[in-house]
Amino acid sequence: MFLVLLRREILAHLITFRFAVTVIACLLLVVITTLIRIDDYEKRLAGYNTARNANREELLSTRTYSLLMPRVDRPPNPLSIFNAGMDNRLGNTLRIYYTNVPVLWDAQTHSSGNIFIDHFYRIDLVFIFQFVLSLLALLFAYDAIAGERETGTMRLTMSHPVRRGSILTAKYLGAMMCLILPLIISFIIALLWIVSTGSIVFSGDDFLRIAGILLTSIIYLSAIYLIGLFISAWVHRTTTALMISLFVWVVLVLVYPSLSVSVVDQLIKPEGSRIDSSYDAMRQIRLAVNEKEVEYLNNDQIEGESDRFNLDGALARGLHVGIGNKPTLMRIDFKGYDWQYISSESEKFIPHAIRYHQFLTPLRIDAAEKMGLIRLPILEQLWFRRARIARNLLRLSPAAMYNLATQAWVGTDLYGVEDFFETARQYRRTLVNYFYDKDAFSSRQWFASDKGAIDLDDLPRFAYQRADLWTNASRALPDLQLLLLLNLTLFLATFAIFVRQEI
Amino acid sequence: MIFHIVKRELYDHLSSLRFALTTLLILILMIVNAITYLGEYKQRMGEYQKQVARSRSELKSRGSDLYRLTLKGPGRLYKKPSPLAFCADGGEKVLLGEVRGNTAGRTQRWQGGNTSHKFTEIWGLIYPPNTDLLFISEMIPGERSIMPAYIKIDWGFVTAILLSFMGILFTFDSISGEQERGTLRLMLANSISRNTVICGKFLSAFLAIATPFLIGVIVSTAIIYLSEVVQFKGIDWVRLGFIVCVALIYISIFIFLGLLISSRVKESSTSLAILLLIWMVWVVLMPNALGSLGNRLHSRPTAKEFTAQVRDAREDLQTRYFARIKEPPRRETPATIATALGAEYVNKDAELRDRLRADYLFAELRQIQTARSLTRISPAAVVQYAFEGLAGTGFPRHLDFISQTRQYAKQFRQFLIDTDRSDPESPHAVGIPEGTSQRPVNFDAVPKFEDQHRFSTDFNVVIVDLLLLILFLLVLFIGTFLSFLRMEIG
Repeated sequence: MFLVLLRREILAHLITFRFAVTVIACLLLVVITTLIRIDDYEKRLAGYNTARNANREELLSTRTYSLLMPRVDRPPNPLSIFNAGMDNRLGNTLRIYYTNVPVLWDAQTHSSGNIFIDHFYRIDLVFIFQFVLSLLALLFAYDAIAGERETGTMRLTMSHPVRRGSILTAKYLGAMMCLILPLIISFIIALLWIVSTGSIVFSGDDFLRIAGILLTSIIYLSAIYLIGLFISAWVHRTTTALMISLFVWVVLVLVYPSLSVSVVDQLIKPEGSRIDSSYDAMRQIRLAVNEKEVEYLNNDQIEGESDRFNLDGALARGLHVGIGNKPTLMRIDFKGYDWQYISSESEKFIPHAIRYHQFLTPLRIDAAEKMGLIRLPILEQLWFRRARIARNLLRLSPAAMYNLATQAWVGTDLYGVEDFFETARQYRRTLVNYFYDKDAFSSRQWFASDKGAIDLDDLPRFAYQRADLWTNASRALPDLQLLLLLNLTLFLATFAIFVRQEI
Repeated sequence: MIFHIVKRELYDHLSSLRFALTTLLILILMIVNAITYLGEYKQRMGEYQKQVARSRSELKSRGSDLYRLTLKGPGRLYKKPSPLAFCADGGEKVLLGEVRGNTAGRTQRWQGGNTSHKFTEIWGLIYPPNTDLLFISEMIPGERSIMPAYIKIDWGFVTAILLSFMGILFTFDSISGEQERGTLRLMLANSISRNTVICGKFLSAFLAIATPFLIGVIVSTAIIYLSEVVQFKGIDWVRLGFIVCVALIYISIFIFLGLLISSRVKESSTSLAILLLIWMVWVVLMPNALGSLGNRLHSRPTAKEFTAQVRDAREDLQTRYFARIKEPPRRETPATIATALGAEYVNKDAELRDRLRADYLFAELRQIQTARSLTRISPAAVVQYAFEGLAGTGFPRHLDFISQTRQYAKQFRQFLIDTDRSDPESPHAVGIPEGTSQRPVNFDAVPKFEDQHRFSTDFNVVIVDLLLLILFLLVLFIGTFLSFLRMEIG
């Protein structure tokens, strides 16, 4: 009997006009979206490759240790076709200074993308499913119970020896199968398209991630369908059920996500006083280093020298980064030198200069790490907190949960992007250790290349790997669980209403 | 007779669930928007005033020395926030409202024989987001914002998304539903022309949607006006009036769309499915998909390429001029050839920088322009742009601000030259200290920048959008009438 019911439900959905129209529209949109996103990915990949080559060249032309400040780049995420997330909104190129612990805000963008456009126009596959298929789910659901009650077929069905639970389950499964069908076709079309272009290469893990996205999509559609079913069981007239469903859809999918984030953005402001106080703390650390520098210079044998040490010759490059007195957390202290030629008269100052760098550079590195310990948490407090509150508030809407969960699968969520900066911080440590191993501060090549440029063969290379599948899965899990919970609650609630109802 | 039809239909609408839900939703959104806007405006305006005051005092601190003014320029120029940003936010956070007229003060060393001279670069306009600034992020929180992406809930959103949705909900069954029930036949059996029927249906749906919207408009304007945080000028009321008119035209478009589909399709449920899909694609998806194409169709150089381009061009200019300069500039009236050449070099260099930076900025703006032109296929995008234009926010305002700063830069340069000309003792080679007048400058005479909101400029931009909306309206209007007149009622 259950199978008969199920078959009837599926057939009833498949032959409807709304099903045909929605599926055709959905597939068309999927094709267009895939086209746009593949093109976008290819452009960004080309930008990444150019930037990486340029940076490697720049690195190889570095002649002294003190000027070693490699640029590292974040490759575009191939799965961003599914959910672009923050992938092209946040910085993707970052200079690693040994005197700065890098954070997300130190990064710049190497692409020729357009911030304004990336900010205002979002299109990806999840966006399509989130809107189009969820609407189809509601159109399936609104008359599932109310409609049958109105036409009287429900009574007819009930006259058979069939339990109400079976009727409800059959309805649910039938509709879900009809929803999953276009979803899977969309995935297949998108994947075929992506694979046939050849520019995007997915790893085995990526296919599992895509499976994760598919699973999340199914759970999301099921949640939306159950919302519709709940309304349909609860309300007596089909037209009322339809109106309520559509309003709920508009609110959950369109209005609430924007409303909640814009309210958080407006009401929770980062506190300027915290920037000032941490800037002061960081300034103290800087001043302490300066004091030690002055003290050191006063106590040594030679009077009145600058950090050029009366050296005479050709300074090919002298770099001093650091701006203004404006309270900012973004200040980086950095000094680099490249003496290409040093005259023989000033040769006698060289040991002195070496001792100076040997003394001061470790102090600068320590100071940078101390400042990093202030800077990281304060930026976390200022910006991440707001983003977290916004994300938590967003979770009242299943559409937002779906978006967040798929971002986590893809790795274009905030944490996925943060991974890159974590790797960059580790790389900075590696670089500093490399300096220590090479005894770089106490070498002449720290500041001068007149006796030959540094050998960069054994310089550790920056390698960024996206987080592994399990990390992605565990990040998607909270939202997935919430969606599942929502599903369960709605199903039970619908069941409770339906069982007690008089037909 | 039409009055009776309108009355009957309107009564039906007003007592319906959809009307109650619509009114509630619109009111909630408009009130939340108004309340959050108060804090936002106070903060934006406060910041703007502080920034302008700081920039003024910096300009004053440059003192009365003409060369210092030539070197350092007018300082930072700021975009004035619009009081009507609650109607259309326009992404003010992403479009940085600041242009700098100052210098990094880099010097170029000229060497000839055993003499040498340092030429210091003078001020030029810098458009912050397009330069490769390391410390940009604190100044533009929007750019590196880690907040989840969202659309600002303003009048533009309420109109573009919600009112169009309402338009469909109120009309999808207005003809097909009556046909299903057979009441349409009954009505037409009386001596009523079909034109009257369709007009009646349009008017009633229009009133049913316009009423909650106008209530929302009045309530939210009242909240903002009575709080006295925002000062409205006379012209702002005109702008608001136009905004409401645009919204009403937009509502009509979707009512006609609904009537058109409803008269073509036999069943209400089919009509609804078709309308919802059209709405979703036309209103929600199309602007997003086409907008993303903006930076695909036009490419622009990356920040790195741009920096390299500027460096090469400047080096080229420098070699050409330095080859011609034979001696260091001296203070002498009339100016020596070297002094004149030196000043010319410094000025040409500033011009070159200005030109390249502007080209780069315009390449970026062209991408946005293209995105906006493409999205105009969707009336939802058109209505948003019209709102932005009328409210004096968003992209057209940004363009106007940029052009005002460029105008001002010219004026400032001219002022420097004129002041120098009025001094007979000066060598008249503005740009280098040796060639510039040493007579003190009166600070009050120095031109100051103030960003102006000009209604005529804003309105010129809006005309295109307005005409487009009217075009949409006319096409759908004619379509609906023809379709209904030729419809067979069974």
